[in-house]
Amino acid sequence: MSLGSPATAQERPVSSAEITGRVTARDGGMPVVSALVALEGTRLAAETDSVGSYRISNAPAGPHILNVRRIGFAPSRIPLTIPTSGRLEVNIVLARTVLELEDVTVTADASGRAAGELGTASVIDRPAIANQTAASLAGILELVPGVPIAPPGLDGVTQIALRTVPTSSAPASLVRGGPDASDLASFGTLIVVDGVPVSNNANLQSLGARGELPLSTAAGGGIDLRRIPAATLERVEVIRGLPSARYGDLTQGAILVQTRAAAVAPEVAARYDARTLEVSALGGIDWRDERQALTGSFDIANTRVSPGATRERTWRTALQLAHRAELGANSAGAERLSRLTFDTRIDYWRLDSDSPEQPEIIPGRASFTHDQGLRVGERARFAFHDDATIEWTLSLDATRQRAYAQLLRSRPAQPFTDRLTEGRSIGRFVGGDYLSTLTLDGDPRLLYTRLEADMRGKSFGFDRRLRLGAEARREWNSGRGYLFDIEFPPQASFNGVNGFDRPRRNDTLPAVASSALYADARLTRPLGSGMSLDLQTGVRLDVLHDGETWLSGARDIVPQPRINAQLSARSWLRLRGALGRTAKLPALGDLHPAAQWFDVVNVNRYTPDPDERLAVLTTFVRDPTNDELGFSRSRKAELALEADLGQRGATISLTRFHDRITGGVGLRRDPEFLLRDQYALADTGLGTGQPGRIVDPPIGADSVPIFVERPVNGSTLASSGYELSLRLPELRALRLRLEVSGASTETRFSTQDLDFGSFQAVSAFEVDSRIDRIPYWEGAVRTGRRDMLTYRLVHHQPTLGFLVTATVQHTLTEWQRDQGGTDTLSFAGYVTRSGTLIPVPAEQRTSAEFSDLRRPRTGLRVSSRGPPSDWLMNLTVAKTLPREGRLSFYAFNVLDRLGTFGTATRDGRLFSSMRFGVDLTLQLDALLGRSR
Amino acid sequence: MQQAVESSIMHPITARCSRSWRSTLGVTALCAVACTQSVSEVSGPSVPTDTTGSGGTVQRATVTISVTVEAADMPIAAQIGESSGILRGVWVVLHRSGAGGTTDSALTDQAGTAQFTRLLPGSYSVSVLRSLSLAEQQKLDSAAADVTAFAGGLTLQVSAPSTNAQIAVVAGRRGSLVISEIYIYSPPTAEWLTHPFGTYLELANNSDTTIYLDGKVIGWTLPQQHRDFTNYPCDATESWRLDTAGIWSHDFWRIPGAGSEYPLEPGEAAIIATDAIDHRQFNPTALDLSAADFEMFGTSEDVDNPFVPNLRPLGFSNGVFGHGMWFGSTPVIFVTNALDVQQLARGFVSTVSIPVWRIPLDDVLDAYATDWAPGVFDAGVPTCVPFVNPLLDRQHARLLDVSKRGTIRRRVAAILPSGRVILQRTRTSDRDFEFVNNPSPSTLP
Repeated sequence: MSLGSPATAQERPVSSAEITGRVTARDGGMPVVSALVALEGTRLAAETDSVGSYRISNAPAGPHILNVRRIGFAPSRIPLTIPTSGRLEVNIVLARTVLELEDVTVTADASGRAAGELGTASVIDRPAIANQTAASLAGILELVPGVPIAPPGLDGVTQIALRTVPTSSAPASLVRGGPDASDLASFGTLIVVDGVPVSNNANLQSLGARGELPLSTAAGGGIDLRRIPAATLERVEVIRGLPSARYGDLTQGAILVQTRAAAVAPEVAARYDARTLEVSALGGIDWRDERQALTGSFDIANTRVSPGATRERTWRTALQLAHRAELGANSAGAERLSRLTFDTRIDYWRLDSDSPEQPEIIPGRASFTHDQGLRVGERARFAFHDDATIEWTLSLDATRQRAYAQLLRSRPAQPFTDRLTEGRSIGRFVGGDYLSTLTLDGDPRLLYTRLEADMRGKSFGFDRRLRLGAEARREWNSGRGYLFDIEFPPQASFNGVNGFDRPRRNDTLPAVASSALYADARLTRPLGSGMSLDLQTGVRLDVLHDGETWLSGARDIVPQPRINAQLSARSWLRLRGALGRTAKLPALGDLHPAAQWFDVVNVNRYTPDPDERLAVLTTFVRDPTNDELGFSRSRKAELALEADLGQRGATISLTRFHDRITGGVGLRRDPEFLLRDQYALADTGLGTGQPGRIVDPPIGADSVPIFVERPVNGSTLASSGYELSLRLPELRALRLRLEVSGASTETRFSTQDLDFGSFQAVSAFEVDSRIDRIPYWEGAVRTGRRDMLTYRLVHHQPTLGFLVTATVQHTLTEWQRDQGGTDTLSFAGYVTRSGTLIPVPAEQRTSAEFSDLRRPRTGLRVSSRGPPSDWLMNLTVAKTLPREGRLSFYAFNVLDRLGTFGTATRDGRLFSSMRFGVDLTLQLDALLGRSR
Repeated sequence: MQQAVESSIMHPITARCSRSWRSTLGVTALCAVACTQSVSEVSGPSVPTDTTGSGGTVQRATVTISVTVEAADMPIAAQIGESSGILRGVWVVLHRSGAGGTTDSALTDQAGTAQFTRLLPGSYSVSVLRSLSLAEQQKLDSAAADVTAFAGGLTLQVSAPSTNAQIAVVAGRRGSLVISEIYIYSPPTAEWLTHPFGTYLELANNSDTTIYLDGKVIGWTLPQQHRDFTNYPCDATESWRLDTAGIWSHDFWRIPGAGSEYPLEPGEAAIIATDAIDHRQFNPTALDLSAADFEMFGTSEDVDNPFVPNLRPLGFSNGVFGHGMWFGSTPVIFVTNALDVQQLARGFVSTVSIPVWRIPLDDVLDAYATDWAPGVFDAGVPTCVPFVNPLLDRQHARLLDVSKRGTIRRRVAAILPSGRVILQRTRTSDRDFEFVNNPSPSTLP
C-alpha cells in the first residue's frame, strides 16, 4: 500500500534501489498495520499493509534514515545505506516504548543532518531528548560537542553561542572587558521553532550601562532558552556548520526545533528533584484518514534557584496547540497529484522569575521578571505533483515582558535636577536613603513571513532540489519602557557630570524592517564505483531597511554566498567542506539607543538654612545613535571527515572549523566635552533667608570631558577548532556502547573600544579639573580556549526496557589570555579635557613630556590562566513500567565532586553539588486500558 | 624616633605555608608554629584536649609572653626602675582572631613574662601596655618628659602544646597633633553602604603648645591591602605596605590656610566632616555636623557648606562618591605635616591603575591602624603579618565594624591637675583606641 508520496512515481530516480520489509510488534510479533515508513530528508514514504509489509521504490543511494511511526508505538529511526540498485530488505520491529527498541539512539546522532541541510549538524531525536535530563532546550543542547553540562532546572537566563568559548571578562570597575555570555550570544545563533525563527532583537529589557539595580535579562543576546520546555520537543537539529541560504539573521549556526505536533498517544510526565518540579502533558488525535491532526501540549515547571540561601523561584508555563490539515486529496488510497497542507501553531509560554525581598539578608532588595509570549503561525504548503511545492509562512510573535526591581539606595546630599531637555535649571537638593524602584515594560513584536518555492528535478546528471524564497520581518517594541521616579533614580553614583538616567519609552522607537531573498540548490549525483557527490549551494541577500516598512530604502545590504559540498568516496566514507557568509541584524536597542544624560553642576551652595541654599545645574543630552550601524558579518568555513559503518558499526566524525565574525555590535566610548559655565553669585549673605542668585552672563567656563557610549559594528569574534563525534560498536554481550564527543575551541574577541583605564580613573578625570589628560590604550585581544571531551557509556537491555547512561565530561584544558601591552610605554596616546584623542608615537613615549601618562596598564590577563583539568559525571537510569510507562532516575554530579577553588595564580572551577531526581512518564491510554 | 631592630631569626609566623618573612619587627617570636590550623586527632593525654564543634579534637596550648624593652628606650625604662631589660607589671592582652574570638589578659611577673594556659591554637593579636603613673612620669628626665607608657604588640600564631613569644616595647610619647576620634556613621540598615557621609575625624592637640592646622594633611591607605586576598596577596603589597620610608596613599587631603589661620590650642580638638551638614535630615540617628571646623569637598556634586572651610584632595581620589572620607574598610588613617605633592615619590598600585604617593614617615604626626573587628568580613582571609610598618604602628586595632553604632576614640593616658586630658599615644593602635557607644565631636573624654 502506498501513501500520498508513493515510491512508485513522482520522485525522479537517481537509482533503482528498492526498500522492502515488514513491520512487526515486539510484543508477540504481530504485524503492525498502517505504520508510516518514510525516508528522512526525502518525500518517499509508504504505509504498511494488512500484513505489515511496505515497499519504497527508486530510493536514492547513500546513507539515509528510515523513519517509522505508528500511534501506540515508539517512533523508530533506522540508519541504513541504500545501494545504487537492487533490493534492500529492512524488517522493522516496533515497540510500545523507546526503551524496548533495538539500537535506539539516546544521544545526538554523530553523523546526522538537519532536514534538507548538508552542513555539520547534531541531530537529537525524541529518544535522546527523553533520555536527557533537561528542563529546557538548554539541557538538550548539552548533547552538542563542546557544550558544558549543567544541573537541570530553570535557574538563570540561559543563552547559547555555538562553537564559541568565553574569553576573559575583566571586572567593569577595572577596565572595559568582554565579552560576557550575552555579548557572545549577541553575535547570533539562530533558533527556529517549527519552521519560524524566534528572535530576541526587540528585547529592550536592559537598564543600560548606568543601571545599578540587579535585574537578570537576556536583552542583547539570544533568546532565553528556558522558555522552550524539553518535554514537548520532538527533534532538535543543531547546524553547527554552515546553514543553507534559507536561514538568515545568524552568525553562529542555527538550531532547528520541532515540537511534538502529531497524532500521539496522550501521555503525562513529571519530574521531581530537590529544586525542580515539572509536569507536562501531551496528546494528539487525527481524523479523516490522518489528514487532519490536532495536538496539544502543556508544561509547567518550577525551580527554586538557591533554596536555603534565597527565596528566588522561577516558574514556566508552556502551552501549544498544533493543527494540521491536508486538503485536495482524493478518496483514501488514491494518488494525490496535488494537495494543500495547512499547519497552524499557537504557542503560549510564560516565564516568571521572582526574587522577593529578604529583609534578613538585604532589606529592600527585590526583583522579578515576568515574560510571556504568544505566537500564532500558519504554514500553507501547496504541492504540485510531488516535485514542486510552494510554501507560505506567516507568523506573529507577541511577547509581553514585565520586570521590576527595587533596592534600598543611599545617596549623599547633592544638587539635583529632573530636567528633561537641555538647558540650565535651578535645582534642588536631595539625599539620604530611599527605596529605588523601576519597572521595565517591554512588548516586543515580530511579524515574519516567508514565501518559498521548492522544486525538484534533474540537471546535468544531478538530482536537484531548488528552493527560492523571500523573507520579510518587522520587529518593534510597543511597551511602556523604562519607568521610574526621576527623583529616586536607580543610580546613586552621580559624580557631578554623568547624570541620572531619565525614563524612556519603547513605543516611540521606530520599527526595524528587514527583508531577504535567497536561492538554495541541493544537488546530488552518483559518480560510479559507489561514489557520490552532494552539493548545497546558494546565495542570500539580506536587506536592513532604513524605514519601518519593507518598501523603504536600504540601510545595509549583505550578499551571502554559501556552499556545502560532500564527496562520498564510499557509502560509509564522506568528506565534506563548507565556505560561506552569514549576517545578523543589529538589535532594536542598538539601532535606537537611549539618550545619555549629563547634568553638570554649576552652583552648589548648601547652607545650614534651607532657605538660603542654591543649586544650579546644566543638563546636556547626547544621542548615541549611529546611523552607520548595520549587519554583523560572519565568514564560516569547515572541513569534515566522516566514516559511518551503520548502526551496529562505528561512526566517527571529525570537523575542523573556522568562524570569523566582523562588525559585531558593541559599545564604543567616544570622548567628547561639555562646557560648564561658571557664575558669580549675588545676594548670598548669611541670614538673608534667600537663596541668592547667579549673575548672568557667566564669568567663565571650564571644559568637562565625557564619554558617550555609542553602538558600533566594532567587535570581532573569531573561533576555530575541532569537533569530534565517535560512536563505537556495541559490545553485544554486555549491551554496552561508548560514545565520545568533544570540541577543542579557541575564541578571540576584540573591539574598537579604547581602554581609558579603570572606572575610577575615568570618573576622576571627568570631575577633577587638576587632571589635564589621561592615557588610553588600544583594546586588548581577549582569547579563550577550552578542550572538552564528553564520554557517554550506554547500557541498553531492550528486552527489559532498561537503559543506563553514564556521562563523564572531562575538561582537559581551559584558559583565558589577553593580548595587549601592560608596561608603562604601552599607552597609545591620551585624551584631553576637550575630548580629543592625541596619539603618541611609540618612539616619543619615553619623553619627559609624557611622564604623567606612563603607568602600568591593569586589568589584563597577560598570561594564560584557567582552572585545572577536571571532570564531572552524571548518571541516568531508565526503565519501562507496565502499561508503557517509563521511570528514570537521574543524578547530576553523581560523585558530588566539588571542583577546585581558585588561588592567586590559578582560576577555580566549582561544580554544583550533586542533584538527583526522578522522571515518570505515563501513557494514559495504556494506563486506562484503552486500545488504540 | 625609634629605630627598628633587625632580627636574625626567621619569623615563623606566616600567612601561608609556603612563605616566610624575615622580621623587621623589634620583636622575636620563638614559637613552633603549625602551618595550618588543622584539626587533628591526638592520642596522648599529656596536654589538655577539647572537642570542637566540627567533630575533631584539638590540643590546648600554653603561651608564654616575655616583655622586654627596645634597646633605644632602655635608658627611659631605667629611670622608672626597670633596668634589666625586661618589664614587669605589663598588661598583656591576647585576642583570638575570628568570630567569637576570646580575650585573655595577664600581668607580667617579676621575670617579665606572662603565661596563658588552655588556649586554642590559632592566630592571636597580642598587645602589651605599661602605663606610667604620674609619679613615674615625674621621675623622667626632660628628654623623656612626654613619655606616658610603654607598649608593643605582634600577631602570634599559637600552636600546641606551647608557644613562646617575646615582645619588645617602646616608649610611647604624647606626640603633638593626634587623631582623637574616628566616627564612621553607619545607619541602622543592613546595606553595606548607606549614607556614609556623616563621618567625621577629630584631631586633638596633645602637646603643650599651639598647633596651626593650616596645610596639615589627613589621608588614608587603600583598602584591601592588608589581608591576603587573591587579588592583593600580602606578597604583592609588602614592598610598600612595610616601606620604612613612608606611607603610600592615593587619598590625602589638605587643610586650608596660609599658616596661622587655624590654631588649635593644647587640649582642644577640631572636627573634619565628610559633609558639614545636618545629617539628621537624612537619618534621625545621624549627627548635626554643620558646625564642623572643616569639611571635605571632592567634586562639584559634593554639597558645600559655604561657612565651613574646605579640605581639597591632593591625591588621586576624591573619596566616597566624591564627598571625601569614609573609613568602612580603610586600614590606616594618618595626619601629617604640610606636604609638597610635587616632591613626593609617586608610583602605581600594581593591581589597579591609579597613582599613589609616598608620604614620608618623618612627616607623619600620628596614625591609626585597624583591621576588621573579629567576625566582620573574616571570610577566612588571613591578615598580613606585619600589618603595617612597625615604625608606624606596633599592633593594629581590630575595631572596624560599620554594623555597630558608636565611635572609635583614643584612650586617655592621664588627666592633668588642670583637668586637661592627655591622650594615650603609644603607636600601638590596639591599645590606644577603643570602641565607645557615643560620639563626642569636639569634646575630648
